[in-house]
Amino acid sequence: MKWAWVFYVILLVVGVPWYWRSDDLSNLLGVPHWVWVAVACSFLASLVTLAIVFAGKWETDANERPGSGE
Amino acid sequence: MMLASTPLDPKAVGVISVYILSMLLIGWWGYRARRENTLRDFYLAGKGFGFFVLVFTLFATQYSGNTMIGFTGKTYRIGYAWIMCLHFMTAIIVFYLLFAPRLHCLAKKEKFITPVDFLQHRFGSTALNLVASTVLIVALGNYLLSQLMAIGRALEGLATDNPKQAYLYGVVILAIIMVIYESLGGLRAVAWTDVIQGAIMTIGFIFLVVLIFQKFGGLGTALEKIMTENRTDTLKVMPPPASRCREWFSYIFLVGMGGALYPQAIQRIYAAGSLNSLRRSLGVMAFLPLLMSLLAVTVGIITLANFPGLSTIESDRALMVISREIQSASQLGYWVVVFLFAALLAAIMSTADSALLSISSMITKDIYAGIINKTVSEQQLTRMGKGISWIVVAIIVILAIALREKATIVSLLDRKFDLLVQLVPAFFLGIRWQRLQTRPTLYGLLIGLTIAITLAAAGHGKLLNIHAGLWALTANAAIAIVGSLLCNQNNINTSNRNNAEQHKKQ
Repeated sequence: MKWAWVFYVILLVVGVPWYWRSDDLSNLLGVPHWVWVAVACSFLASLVTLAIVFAGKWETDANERPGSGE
Repeated sequence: MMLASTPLDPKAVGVISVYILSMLLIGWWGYRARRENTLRDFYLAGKGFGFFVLVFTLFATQYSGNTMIGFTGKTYRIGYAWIMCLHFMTAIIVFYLLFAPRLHCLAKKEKFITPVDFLQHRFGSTALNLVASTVLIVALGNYLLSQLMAIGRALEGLATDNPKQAYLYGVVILAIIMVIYESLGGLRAVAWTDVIQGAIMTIGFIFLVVLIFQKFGGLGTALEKIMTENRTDTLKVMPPPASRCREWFSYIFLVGMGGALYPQAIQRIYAAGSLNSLRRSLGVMAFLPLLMSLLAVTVGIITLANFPGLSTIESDRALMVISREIQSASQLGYWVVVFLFAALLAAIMSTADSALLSISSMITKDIYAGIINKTVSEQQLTRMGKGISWIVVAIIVILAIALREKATIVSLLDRKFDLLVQLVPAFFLGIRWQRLQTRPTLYGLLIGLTIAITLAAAGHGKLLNIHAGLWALTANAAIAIVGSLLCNQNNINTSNRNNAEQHKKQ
């Protein structure tokens, strides 16, 4: 499921609060807004992982000996 | 209502002691449940675990009592920015997806016991095996050290009279109990204790947070206190500066990749009873950071708001500081804290045991049987592994006592991951990219290790807020990839030349 990695990258970029104003003190229920966004991105990343684990086809081709070295 | 005047009164010490000693019983059950006296039975619990045990034992490799104590302390020091732990703990599961399914199937087929067994199968290089074993053993030694230090910190945080003595006795006595039940029951005993400690620790922590909310108010009250009363800590609730965000990205990759390469976690991938058990376990693991990391951050923030001014080393005891308040507030709080700490200590011990078991398996199988004495029998190796566990524990106990006031738990974790991530090309690329060659992988690993160790020794644990291990990994991976491509090109050229010569002769 190569598409999933695109989601991970988007969630990574949005989840880390590099784009927030450093003096932002806005909050919801006592938790800063930027923290809510970080938590939401983590939750979505967990959902994507769940989708890969259960819906995706696992690449388990262990019969192929991976590489042979030199 | 009589409340405890000291956090560790005789009643609490009695309950904690009985709880901890009950782990010896589990070790004995593990010993009785063994099916054969082989390395596979001792280190991988024979035919492996089903979903239930697997998910808890994987959980215990990522979240020990140490993690909860360390994360609470780090949140106290840097504030909400430590919510990054939620991201990097999730990243570990994401990186598992890159190699765990294939590795599991390969391990079942080839009967792997240690992580280096995969490298032997993939590269067949004694030099690479030796370097990889050394890295894994040193990184795990560091991990074990941080676990034992966490045991000491937990006890000294609860002791009011003589914290230094509590640390000393705590580390020595619990290390002895730990190594006894590990020697008895191997991975089977360790995984069974993981299930019990993991469940009690999680439930206890949830209870603790509820009681904290009741006594100190929620996160809203904490935010208000930080902004009005402790104005010096206001920065800890604001969005982090660019430097901290770079560190955040760095942690996601460093811990995500390094955590997935924990040798004891790789051995649990081998020990999964079936691919389906592994699949379901990873599905559950994907959501655990949302519970455990958030609980730790919440407790850290409320402690910061109500107990400002703890020093860096003291902040590692933040969880104990707030727990003491809860313990003395009500009879329910008293027992919740006593049981939580018994479970925390037991969880640290069972996590430390996983590391110990892994170290002993690598020293016996990869170094002794793989390099020094290839004709040794499995029974001799199993016996030797148990002896090695005792020696390793003795060394780590001495270090834990010597470093008592010198290192924070999270700083120790950083150094371990700097080393572990140098094995990313060998494992991640090794299992997915057939053209990866042995020599470039070995040279990349050696150069990566040299860079990581040099930067850390020169006091640059983070360069431009990016961990030394990631800078080193960049060079390491570049050498492995470019070197392999060049080797492949050379092989093609040589093969073409040989074909042309043969053609000419004909």
